[in-house]
Amino acid sequence: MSAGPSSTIIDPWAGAATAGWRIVDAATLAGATTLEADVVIVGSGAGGGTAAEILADAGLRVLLVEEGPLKSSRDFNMLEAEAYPQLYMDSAARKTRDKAINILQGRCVGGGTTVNWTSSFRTPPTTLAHWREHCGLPGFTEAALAPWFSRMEARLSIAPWEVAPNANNGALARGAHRIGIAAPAIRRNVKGCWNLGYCGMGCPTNAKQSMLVTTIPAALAKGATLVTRVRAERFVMRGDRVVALEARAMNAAGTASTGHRVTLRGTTFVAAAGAIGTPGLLLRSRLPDPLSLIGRRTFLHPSVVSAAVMPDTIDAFAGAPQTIFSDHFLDTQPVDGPIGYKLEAPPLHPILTAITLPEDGAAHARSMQQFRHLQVVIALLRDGFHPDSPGGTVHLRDDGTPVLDYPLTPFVWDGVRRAFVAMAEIQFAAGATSVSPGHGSGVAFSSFTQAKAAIGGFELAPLVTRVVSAHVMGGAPLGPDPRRAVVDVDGRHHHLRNLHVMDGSLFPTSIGANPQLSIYALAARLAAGLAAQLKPPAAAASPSRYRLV
Amino acid sequence: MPNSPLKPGRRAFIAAGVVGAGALVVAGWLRRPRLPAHGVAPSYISADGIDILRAIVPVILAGALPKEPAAQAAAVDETLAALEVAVGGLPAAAQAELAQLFDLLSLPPVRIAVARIDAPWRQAAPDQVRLCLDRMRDSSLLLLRSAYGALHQLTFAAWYGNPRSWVAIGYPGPPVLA
Repeated sequence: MSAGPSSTIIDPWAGAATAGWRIVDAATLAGATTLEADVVIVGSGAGGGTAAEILADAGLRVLLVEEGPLKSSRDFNMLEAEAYPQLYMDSAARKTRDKAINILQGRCVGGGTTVNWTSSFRTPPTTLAHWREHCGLPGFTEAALAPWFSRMEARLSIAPWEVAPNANNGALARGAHRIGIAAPAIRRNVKGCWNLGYCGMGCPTNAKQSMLVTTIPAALAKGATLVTRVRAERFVMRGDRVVALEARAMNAAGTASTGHRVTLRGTTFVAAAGAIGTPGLLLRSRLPDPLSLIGRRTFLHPSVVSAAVMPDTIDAFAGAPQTIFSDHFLDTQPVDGPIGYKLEAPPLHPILTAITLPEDGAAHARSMQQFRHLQVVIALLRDGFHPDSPGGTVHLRDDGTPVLDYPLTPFVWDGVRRAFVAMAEIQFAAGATSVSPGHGSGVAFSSFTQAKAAIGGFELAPLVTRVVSAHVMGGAPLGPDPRRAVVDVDGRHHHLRNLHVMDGSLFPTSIGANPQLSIYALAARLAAGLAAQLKPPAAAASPSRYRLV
Repeated sequence: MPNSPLKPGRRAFIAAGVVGAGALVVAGWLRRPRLPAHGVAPSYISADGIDILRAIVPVILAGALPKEPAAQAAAVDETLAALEVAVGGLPAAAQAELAQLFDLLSLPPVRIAVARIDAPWRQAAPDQVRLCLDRMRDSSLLLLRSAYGALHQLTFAAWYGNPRSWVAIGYPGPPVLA
């Protein structure tokens, strides 16, 4: 395959040393270390990365703490076997407590934004309306949020993707069109994209405008310090303030601590470790939580998969991964009714495909031999809008690591069944010769009538039905009422004056769309508010705020 | 209906599965810490675990491995090596659960009564291993289904991460950037 439009790949990290960026790789520390700044941010993903730039821009000294390694386009070789252990939480094998849902989450500088598939959606208006009416967030209007969306869209080059979809996404568009439902194009955060299809292994051309190549380099250029391979253990409280973050250096492989303690002191702390990491950190810190809200109402978009064999070559590993979507099954029913779902078409690479296809042995091998003809649609279920969809709960294991308990309820299974039917209908309409829902032993059906009848009789169950998720939301929700929310509408902890949350854990429900842009916009709004409060323009030159020990 | 988790014919295995769940706890108690010999890299999978995987991996990968015996043996070795690396990349809690699973399956009473493998794992007959995997996958017990899920995910990740596997599926590998 020939390479794309641009001739040079510029790695913003190549000049880090000459530019004097402060980067501490904790894996190389020889002993206990203390660092100090104005603001300590835990996590460098969509929330932490966005906050780091805004706070550094305001002249604040920022310490950005990341558990994963710093890897950049020089390292991104498009090999799953190397990318998953390096860039993903638990080698891309993070599971819910009963192992029924596999969760893809980034763990590297840039977090999920380094490995996501670039899908960019504003928070859907129906989701915002639900938050206004039911979650005590009357200020969350489209108009009020529009400037924050616009700001981050401009910052991250989020724009319509004008290139023709790859065959995998093209089949979704064709099938949807033939059954009469809308399937528009997805906006993407890319600049000069080569249309390769390997976003999930780290963009090798730096076209993806992730935190790794935008806000984090910008923050470092403004004097922020990045500390990598360090795991945040707990906040240390004194009265109603956090005084330090206790952390441990990780080994180079990121599998265990080297044992060296890293203490991060600051006047303000921001938790942005993602919607499993942040509740986990707050729980380990034993923060005031009289109603046990922390970690509750943590949401996924539980996602199910339908694999079709198409007569033509699809090569779903090639070309921009997710460029077409359908919200038909979200928009045509009430948000607080039976669970709705979004349809998308994911990239297929050998490992991700092989571990997702059910069965093993000869049957699995036969499916894999169809690899170039495989066309896959996923349904992402919109959880959290109905009394019967409370989502999951983050708990701590005995070793202090967080685990998400996510019961799959009849309410969710009802949506799964409808989604299997809808996906099969679309795939047959697109010309599939067979469709195999991701359930049980992966039986393939040769007509929609046959598939629909069989799906009606599926005994849907955990670890019988294949469920995956790449989006984690909630667990430290934002809201004015301390009886229902962990942080206030400014993102400040209801019980601690200088602790803020700025990541996907803020959301009171799932988003109902790929969440990166929702996180960027909300983090930008909260970080700008925090910057204004910590650094009013008149005090901009106060030298006492510039401390780094 | 495809693959119901509650087919009546599986009741015997369900009963055995309950025993298995109890034995899992016992196996946890019986576990001894494995100290690597001097100069040997620490292993993330016990010797018993390797024996079990050596029996299971060729069955899970049946039809996917090269046909020629020497190439097949090499492919299994490479898969086991990749599997070991993959397990090393899992969090401690997941490693401990996996170690428990291997400890349990290597206990002769469990191997015979639950897995229904009548010879030691090193000599296990592939058709018995096949039936054992089917029963785990179709068990009514979440625990056994999750054990199947772990073996499925680890084995396929280890094999399909290996460029040697790509020829059979027509994957050309990543593009070369000019």
